[in-house]
Amino acid sequence: MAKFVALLASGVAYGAILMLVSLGFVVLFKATGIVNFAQGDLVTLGAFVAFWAGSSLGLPILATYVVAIVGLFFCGVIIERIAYVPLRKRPPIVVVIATLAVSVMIEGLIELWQGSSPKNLPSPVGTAVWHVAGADIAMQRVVIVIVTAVVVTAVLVIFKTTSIGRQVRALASDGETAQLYGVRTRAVSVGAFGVSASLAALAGVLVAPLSAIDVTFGFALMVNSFSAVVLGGFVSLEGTAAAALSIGIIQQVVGGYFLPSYSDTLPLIVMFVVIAVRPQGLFGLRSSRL
Amino acid sequence: MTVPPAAHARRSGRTRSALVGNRLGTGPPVYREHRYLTWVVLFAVIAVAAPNLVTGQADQLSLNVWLAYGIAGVGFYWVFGLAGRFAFCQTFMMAMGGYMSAWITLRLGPNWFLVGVLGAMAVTGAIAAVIGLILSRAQDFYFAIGTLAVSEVGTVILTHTTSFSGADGSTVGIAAPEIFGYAFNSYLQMFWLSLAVLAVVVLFAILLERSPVRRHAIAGRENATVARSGGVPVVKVQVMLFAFGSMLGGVSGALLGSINSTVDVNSFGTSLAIGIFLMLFIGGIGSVWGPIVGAAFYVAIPQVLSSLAQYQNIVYGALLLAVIIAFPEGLVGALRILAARLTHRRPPVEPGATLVERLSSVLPTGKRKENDATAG
Amino acid sequence: MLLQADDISVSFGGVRAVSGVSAACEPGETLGIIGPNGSGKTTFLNALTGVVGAKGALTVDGAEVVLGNPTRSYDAGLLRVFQAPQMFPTFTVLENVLVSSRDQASSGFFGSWVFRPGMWRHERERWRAAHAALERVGLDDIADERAASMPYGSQRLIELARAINATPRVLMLDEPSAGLNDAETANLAALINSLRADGLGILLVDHKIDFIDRLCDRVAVLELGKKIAEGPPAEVWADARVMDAYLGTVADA
Repeated sequence: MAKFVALLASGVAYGAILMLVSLGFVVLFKATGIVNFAQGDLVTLGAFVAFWAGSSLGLPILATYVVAIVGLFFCGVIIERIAYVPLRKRPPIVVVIATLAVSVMIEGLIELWQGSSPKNLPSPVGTAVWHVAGADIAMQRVVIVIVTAVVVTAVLVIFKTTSIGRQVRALASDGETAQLYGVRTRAVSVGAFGVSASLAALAGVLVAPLSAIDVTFGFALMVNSFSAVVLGGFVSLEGTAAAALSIGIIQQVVGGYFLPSYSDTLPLIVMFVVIAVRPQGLFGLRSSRL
Repeated sequence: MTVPPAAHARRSGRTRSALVGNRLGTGPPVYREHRYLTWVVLFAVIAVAAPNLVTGQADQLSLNVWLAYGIAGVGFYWVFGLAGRFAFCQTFMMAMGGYMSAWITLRLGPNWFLVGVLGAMAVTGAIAAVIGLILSRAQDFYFAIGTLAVSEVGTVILTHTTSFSGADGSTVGIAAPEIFGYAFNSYLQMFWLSLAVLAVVVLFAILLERSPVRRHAIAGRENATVARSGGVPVVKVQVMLFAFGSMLGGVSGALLGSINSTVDVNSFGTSLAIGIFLMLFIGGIGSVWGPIVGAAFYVAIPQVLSSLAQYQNIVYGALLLAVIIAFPEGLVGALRILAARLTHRRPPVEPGATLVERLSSVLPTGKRKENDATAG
Repeated sequence: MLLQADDISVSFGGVRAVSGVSAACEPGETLGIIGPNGSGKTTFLNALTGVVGAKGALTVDGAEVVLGNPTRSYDAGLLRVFQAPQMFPTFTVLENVLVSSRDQASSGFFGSWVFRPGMWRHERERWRAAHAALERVGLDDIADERAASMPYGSQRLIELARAINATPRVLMLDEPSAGLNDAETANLAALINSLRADGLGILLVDHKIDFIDRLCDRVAVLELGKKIAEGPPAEVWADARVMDAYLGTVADA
């Protein structure tokens, strides 16, 4: 029982992180039509920026998080300027490959900047542990879940109810018409890149204290969050969030009990099965039968 | 014909004359191009020039690696260039082929090399056939991600099955291959072997271009609905091209294992995957030669930038970015257009041949997919 | 009865595009299908050619045809010409027609790699047949041109040649006269009649009333997915429900 509770807690926490990464992905996609392959490396970058702010600038922990999140917002804006704006007239796929190129460059830059040995990010709750049903759950996991719940709810609410959300949705479904109605595409795309980068940074600083971070951990996280995005069919934010949570739980619980050394691959296996059985994702729209 | 031949040829943009034309007079133009001649000339040139121009161990090693990558590139051309399905798992197939061949030759002896290669082909072909069938209904984007999943999961499985892949997922000490007692010990000997394999592979590719398979593949790629309505076996062609293309990846991996004497799953990881993108963008995907040319560039880069080794990732990334922005049709495509302009012929722009256009059809749109043919 | 379609229904996520439509066609008969936009005419053709899934029964020459499978419809000899001409951009006119060749012997990897003489034999036969189809529609002289750069009217005919090349039993034409001038329309009408004379069944979806009138033996009228009338053209034009449905379209246009 204790083992189950511990695994479940891990799963919920991991699912929360996947939620942040995959939501950042989908929000950007809906606003600009871009699949941003640099998302994972932005997670890594966020964690490293926080680390640098703590170790080189000596800032307190929460301040380092703020530095990371705000800093990454501007990173997102920069990426928008160098990889998106100059390639606006070209098909979206060019921008996607450009983001892939950017991701590789980010990894190289991080390596140059901080070296390739793993780093440790301290947690705001230290090593405190919560005892529940005989299991020890790291407080950091609780923090992750609470923070994510708040942020994700905020994102979903903003998307559904506010004017900004409506503008993004309008852009997503018909860009040209939206522009004719006065939706400020430039502002929306800058904002989308910035916000999705901040979400990545948040995921990075939340998950980093759980284990040492290296240059590639964000990329691996992104690959797993693909599964959530695919299940959500690229269209539904709630579907993506729900899928992310489920995948996190499946990975930790099933992986913990049955295939420990392969647990990292479970999200991908789930994604593969979903693609095989229902190619448009669980929540995606059915395209006209070809 | 009511139109004078010269004007006719100019208008249709055909760039080859019909030396062989009259015998095949009534077929499509693709059967009238001098592909066999090109093949003979190119491989003769390489066979003569390379051993003389390329000296030194490191360069010879790169030369052989280029040939092996070229084989994998032809396979990728079959999967993406012809069939139109972008597959992320070619690097995994290369690893798989490398391990399989190494496993066989380490246990049975280096003169079982040919069996090793056949084993690599069998394993990769079988896996690809199964995956291809499972994913046959998936749209192009989901097919790509599905193969990404296969690649990642497969790599993890390989790393864990140490009885197959060796301790730490690395098989070392692969002896030089022997065929019927002749051992390919030196890099120069491996060059001949690799060149021979690439030549055979490209020959098979040319045979495919001059056959209905090309027609079926392109039809299925450009408009699957209309193709199917016209009786083209789209799924069958796509799955088979995927299987054969993956088999070539396996052959490439087997060769690489012998060239490097080791097979390590890390050498087939993200770096090589980005490398394949680079090969495509530089070489283009419009012909079987594109990836081969691209592979040459990819192999040459570390040589040229040897002092910048630690900046490798940044350089690759920046290079990819630069090439995307400057050459949407790939280097080979750009050269073709340049050559056509210089000789005042109409440039052979095949719609959909630019890599960018082809990749564009892979992306999801997040919207309801409208199909003009069937809307109404 | 050459073609017998019974009670065909097609639904897209809750919307019934086609609702219980039946149609039949004898060899050498031309059945017109008319109706306002959105009445399900194209979807009905999609159902018969297996492009969309459908419920109902389909029989060709007495043999049952499985619905929802384009290959089965093709095998049964049901070919169609699309509303907007669908040219394969990379192909020449000849290649656009060749894709529908019925003789696919030695057209796979075996024929390409193992036994090429067999492939050549069948390929030449396929070329001959495709040229004949192009000849039939009068376009054999542009066989080696890039199809996508041909004028609209020619593209229509190329599609028709593609369908003819597959030796159809039933030919379905989706608004074939759209965008054609009078001369081209007359040419098309003559072609359709010559195909009828060969014993094909023809399903003709169109809007031009005189085109339908002079070509069709019988006309079926669809509205909102249902068949509301069927009979010889004269009867159908006189039917009040048809006038309502059709006049609605004319007023909107």
